[in-house]
Amino acid sequence: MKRITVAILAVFLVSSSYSQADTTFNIWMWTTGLHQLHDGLTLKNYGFTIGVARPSIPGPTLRVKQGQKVRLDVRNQSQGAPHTIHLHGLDVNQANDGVPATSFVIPHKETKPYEFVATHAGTYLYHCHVASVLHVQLGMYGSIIVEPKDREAAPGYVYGRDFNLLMSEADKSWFDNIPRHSTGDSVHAKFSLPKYDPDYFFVNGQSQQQIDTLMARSDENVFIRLSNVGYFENLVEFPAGLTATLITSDGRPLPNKISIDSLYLTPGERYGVMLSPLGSALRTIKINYLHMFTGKQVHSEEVSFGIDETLPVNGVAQQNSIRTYPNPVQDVLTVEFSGTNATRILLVDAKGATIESDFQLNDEQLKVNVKALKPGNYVLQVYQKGKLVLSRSVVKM
Amino acid sequence: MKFIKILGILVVSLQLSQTSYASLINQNIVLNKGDLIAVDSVQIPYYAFNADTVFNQTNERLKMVIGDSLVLSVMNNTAGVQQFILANFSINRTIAAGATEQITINAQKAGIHIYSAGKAGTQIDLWGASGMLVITNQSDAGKSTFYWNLKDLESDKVRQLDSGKTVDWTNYYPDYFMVNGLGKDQLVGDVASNVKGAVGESILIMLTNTGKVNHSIHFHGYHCLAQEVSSKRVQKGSSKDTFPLEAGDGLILLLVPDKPGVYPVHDHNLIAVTGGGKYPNGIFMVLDIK
Repeated sequence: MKRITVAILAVFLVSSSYSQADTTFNIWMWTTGLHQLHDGLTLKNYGFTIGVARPSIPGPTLRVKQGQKVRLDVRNQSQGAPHTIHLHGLDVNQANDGVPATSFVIPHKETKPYEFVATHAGTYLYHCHVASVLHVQLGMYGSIIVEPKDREAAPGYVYGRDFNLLMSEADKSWFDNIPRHSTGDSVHAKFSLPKYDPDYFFVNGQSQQQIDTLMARSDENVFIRLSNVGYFENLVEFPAGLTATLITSDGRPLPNKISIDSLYLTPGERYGVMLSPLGSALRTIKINYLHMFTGKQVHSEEVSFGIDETLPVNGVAQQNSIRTYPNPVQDVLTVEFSGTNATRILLVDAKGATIESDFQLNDEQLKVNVKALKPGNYVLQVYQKGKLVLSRSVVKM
Repeated sequence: MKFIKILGILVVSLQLSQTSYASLINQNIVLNKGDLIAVDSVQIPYYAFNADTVFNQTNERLKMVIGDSLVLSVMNNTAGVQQFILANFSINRTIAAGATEQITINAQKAGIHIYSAGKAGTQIDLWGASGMLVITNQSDAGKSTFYWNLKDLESDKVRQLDSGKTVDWTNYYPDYFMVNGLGKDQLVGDVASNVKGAVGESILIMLTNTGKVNHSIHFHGYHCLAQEVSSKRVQKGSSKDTFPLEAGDGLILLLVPDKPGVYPVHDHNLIAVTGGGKYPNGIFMVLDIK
């Protein structure tokens, strides 16, 4: 009888705790990822998912509203090491900080909660804090976005649409060669590391032809959320002809809102930049990756904007994008539309000749069978009411 | 007219009250050469400015309040000719082996500055001998104050320098990352770097980067206010949890904790949390708030 009473009390406590949260995410942690790279190779990554899924890099972006009480129910299904979630920048209490020595760890096959209040609108990170240098590199990170009320990123700065660009790198040799932690390892053990010499440079886990095109209206302010969770620095160059205003950093408005044409991000920093309306020209943001010790630029990636006038004016803040995956592709290319409205899609070869145009546009996803195509470079063109709004490279293997 | 007279008296009184706090400080520092004992017990040739002729791997801190005058005697206790540079005050002295130079510094404005035994990018300041000069406001008197002087060092290059060889800095890849000349486990007993305070207390953190590479210092648990900046990348008055510091930068941060707890502060270039190729051995401090 006593046991039943205790059990009922426990269920009541758990459910009442659940009911206190305005939003709850069921996060799973894994060590079984296979992250596809732009050259067709894969990384054996660690990572986060919502529910049961194969983890990719980065983990899912968690969007919440300012003022909400947020709960993460975190399941460790890693087959190995304990993990945690550090809520980077959210100024949580010690119990929810995700540092093994001062908070708690989540052993394999256990689920534990993290809770916080989304007090300040802004861009934040989450990442594992067990053997951080290793687990972060292996992919255990993602973004948390606390959306402001009425899309006002800072007093007087209202955006129509916002985009999140999370930068990082990967040294493939670390994924291939570093001994991974097993269940019994101490989370406090010291371990040796080879030199860090990344060979892949990511924007939201993608590089080169994989990078999503950001779809926006031509007449709206665009808010760019920039974060760096890599170990290199970033130098972000904004499109010429637009006004880029630096307005927030690390989840707080900056005292001076200044016009910039480029911006440095060191590891762990976040910035918010308001772009004036894009107009009709196709624009790109260039992201340079600077060596952490020499400062030399070792790589750059570009993020393109596409224009979509059918998007709702000042619609619900969201990341509108067109994704193509896998890319490179062998058999079937998936084209995914998130909140954008294409009316015609063409696949053309490197010489501009149309390969295929008779696509059936259903919902927000299109499957293109490319099995019969010769290996090489192709271009996917997306039209809207007769106007080209996006060109995307596709590599056939 | 009467109002202007009263205002004038008030201004004079205020000025007098300010000058009444000013002090004349005499301080001696000595440039020594010795062996740095790294976090993994490896010994590395090293220079540091100390209080006397006994080598210590933590550089002396020079502290002033606005209005103070500092008469600083700098002794060169090494075998070679050395420099003493305080760039923000246009001070650059050459000091012969065994000689002492006297320098006077007047504190006119709050801020944080770097002194060193060589120009940035040249040999000796990268080899340890660089510290901080802190000038605080009179209103900061009594606040708990902590000091983080960040450094990085590639031990092989330092040994090459020590043996008289030319060093190629273009492929610099440091293997030790330190705060006040100490790595993570050594910092446990360092009262200057481990922040202890209470909820609601105003705590000052003096932060300089006297290394060669950029650092990115991330606070768990709290945002800090950038009270004074000597940096292109941080706005004065901004509230952040991650502070970039280019080589040569300095920041005075104000932390007012809103909750108790024990929280780490570390470099978020996580390679800089290593030492001797091992993790975690590098730039990693603790905030202990009651």
